[in-house]
Amino acid sequence: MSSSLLQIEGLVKHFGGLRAVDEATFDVERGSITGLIGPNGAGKTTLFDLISGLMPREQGTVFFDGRDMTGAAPHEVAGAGLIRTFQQPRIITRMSVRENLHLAATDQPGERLWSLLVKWRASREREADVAERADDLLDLFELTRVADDYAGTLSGGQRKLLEFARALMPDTTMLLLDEPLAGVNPTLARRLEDLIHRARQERDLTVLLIEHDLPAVMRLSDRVIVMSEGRVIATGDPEEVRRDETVLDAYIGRGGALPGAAGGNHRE
Amino acid sequence: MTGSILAMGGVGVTLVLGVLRLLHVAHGDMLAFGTYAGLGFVAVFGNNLVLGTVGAIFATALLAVALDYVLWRPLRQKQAGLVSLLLASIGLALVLRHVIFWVAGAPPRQYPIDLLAVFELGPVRLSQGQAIALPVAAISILLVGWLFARTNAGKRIRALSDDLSLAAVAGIDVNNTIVLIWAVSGALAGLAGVLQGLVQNSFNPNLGFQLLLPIFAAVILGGIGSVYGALVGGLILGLTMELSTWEVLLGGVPPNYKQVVAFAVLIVMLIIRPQGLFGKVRLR
Amino acid sequence: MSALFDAGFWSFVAVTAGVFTIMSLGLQLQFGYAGLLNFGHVAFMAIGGYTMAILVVKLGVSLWLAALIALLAAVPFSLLLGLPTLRLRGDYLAMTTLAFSEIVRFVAVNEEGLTGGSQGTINLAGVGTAASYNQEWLDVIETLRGWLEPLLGELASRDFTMMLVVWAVAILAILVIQHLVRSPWGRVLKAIREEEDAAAVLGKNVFWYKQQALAIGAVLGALAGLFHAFQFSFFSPADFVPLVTFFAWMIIILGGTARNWGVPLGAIIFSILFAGTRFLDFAPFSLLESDERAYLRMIIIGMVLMVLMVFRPQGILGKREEMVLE
Repeated sequence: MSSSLLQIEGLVKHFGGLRAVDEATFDVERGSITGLIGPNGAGKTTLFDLISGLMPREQGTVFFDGRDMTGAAPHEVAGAGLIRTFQQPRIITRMSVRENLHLAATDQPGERLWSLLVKWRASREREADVAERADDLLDLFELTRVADDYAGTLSGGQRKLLEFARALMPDTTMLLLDEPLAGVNPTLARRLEDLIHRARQERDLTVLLIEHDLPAVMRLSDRVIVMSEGRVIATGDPEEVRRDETVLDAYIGRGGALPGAAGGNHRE
Repeated sequence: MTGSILAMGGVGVTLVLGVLRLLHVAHGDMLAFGTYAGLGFVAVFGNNLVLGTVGAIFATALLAVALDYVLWRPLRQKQAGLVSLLLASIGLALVLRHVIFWVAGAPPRQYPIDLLAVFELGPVRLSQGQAIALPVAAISILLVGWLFARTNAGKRIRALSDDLSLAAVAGIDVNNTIVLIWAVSGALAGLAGVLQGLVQNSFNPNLGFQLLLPIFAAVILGGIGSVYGALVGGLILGLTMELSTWEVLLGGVPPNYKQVVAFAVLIVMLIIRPQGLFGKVRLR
Repeated sequence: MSALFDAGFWSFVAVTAGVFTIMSLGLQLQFGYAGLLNFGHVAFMAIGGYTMAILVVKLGVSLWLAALIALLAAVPFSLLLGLPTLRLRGDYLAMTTLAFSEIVRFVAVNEEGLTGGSQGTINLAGVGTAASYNQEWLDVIETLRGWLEPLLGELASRDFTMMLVVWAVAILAILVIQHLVRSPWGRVLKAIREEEDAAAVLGKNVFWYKQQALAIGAVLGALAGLFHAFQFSFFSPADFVPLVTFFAWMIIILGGTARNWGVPLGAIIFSILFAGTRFLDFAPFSLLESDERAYLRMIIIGMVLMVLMVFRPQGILGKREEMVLE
């Protein structure tokens, strides 16, 4: 078995006449933190949707942990150990913060109707375990203060924290993080970066993250994948990618600049 | 014949659904309102069908616009969701239907035409009502299609129907156009109501609800939000419903089950091709 | 006005309220918790009632067994409805479920051999015989009434006894649903209602949960249908028109969706509203004839619905933060 945990090959997705994802192919190694970058509209979030099963895949394959996930439904993908977050946090506003976390736990017999009625003691015990883990996460993310408030009352930054914390509740193998640092104040962002590092360290989590904060991506990632207009145009370690011509073109050609690029900022 | 009525009703529904995101359950009863208003106007104008119909069209259009101001606008301002709108529409349907019951009474009514006269047009036998309604319907459908294609108003409506926010940015007066949409929707419903009254030899206030699901089916068939789709969908569905009773087709469907054909089409379309024949694919 | 104090009448209203409570509770689970726009709920009432009646009259099955089978029968029907349609978007689901309930009613009207057709259950045993399915039930009620009579005297009418039974079951049902909804299972349901995709990527099988909610709601609908059948000893397809589904919707809105104890409250208010128009026999209402009053009743109900949507969509007991109607 190879050391790559996630293998994408030839993924294609059309929206009308547009190829939002165009033959995307790459690997993500076990235990690595990989950054997925590219200008807006490059198809990164769509790619996440395809991998996690939220959008039907037209062409191409997805292999996760050696298993063919190409036709899998989102809950099956999650069941295999791959959890994703959303760019705009999709928390449940009508539940408390704590309940949002409890929700994400796996292996809760109380969640299955039959078990709920028959195995209620086991359900109770599991709930206690879940509560403990939730408390730890609340602590880690400094959300304990608002734990029993409706999640709808949280600020934007707090929602991002909750979205991330929620993804850490189950025993996952890999996380797909969609712009975890976007719209978050710098102090919080640094803390989140730390958390991502720790998650990899302590839990052996593999991470693939989409981010526009390029310095952060460069700091965090072992490897970087660059997409533009649906295609993967470069992969490699952060330094290589930063110097890559095609990458610079992709950013600059779209009227943007690549901050921190070795060659300085061009605008044409 | 049924098809053209469905088509007209369908245009009204599809517009309202596409632009205002409102599943107008009360539309069937707007049609019924048209039927009965027509009845009233015909009597007022001394049994003159033409004036009666015109009266019905105006009355229904007026009603639709008035309702927008009184009910739909406040709900829009409150950003009422799908379900609120749906339930409000149901409430409206109940009120409309039972006001008609109250005013006109439950026993079946009919338009003052000769119910027994039969016209023979080749292999087809038409009642007088159908003979009148058919050409009117045909002309109206063509007129509607032309209006939507050529006039500025029509284009504005279609623009809104395609993309609400884009249309607003393009400088189209959204509120006014919405009023226009209601007016058109109401007018067509009024006309359709009168025609249905002519076609059905006798009718009672429930006729609106009976037409509702077939109208929805026509809208789905044609694609939500697409005016042409509704027109085409209505015609196809009407034809299908009538043809389904032919023995030539697999022994035929018992005439009672004609309505069920519409339901079946509705369900099947929603399952295999929810965007209909002409609709745009809706991203979630 | 003397009728206002007729205990027999109010018992009858109470029974109706109880039946509506059970039915609307099912809808509450489907919509208030799972977010399913079920506009065909009355179909499950029909399925419950007809399954039982057909089994008793045509196959000679005992009432209790028939009732049990009727309740279980609701499940495969809900699967039949759910499998193709649960993936549909909200308003599409509403239309499809409406079409489903109309198809059921259509079949009931047209398949005379099976259901007695438009004349209803009286026709089940064929022409010339007045079929009845109710006897075992009436016997039980009579026995219960016998126990109550020494305690309550005149109050212990058949309707009164029936009311106690129906409400006992209704309260039991509410407690069960309450327990379900507060469990981890219920939590998933609530999440699905608001953010289906989030629930899915967290590993929850969204479709299956929705189906389960639909099925449980269907069983409650069938239960309501059974009580309806027992109460009136007779029913016909006209009892199962979409209007009844709309009443159930109104009830759950009145009480506040996702508020289980709002359901009986809504049902009681609704039943009073519905039956109460009977008492408007003072001027100017006394000028109306009875069918005109019936129309007025519906007009009032329709207006209440519209007003409710504009001014208080969260219902009477609902909380603004938990408002699920947007």
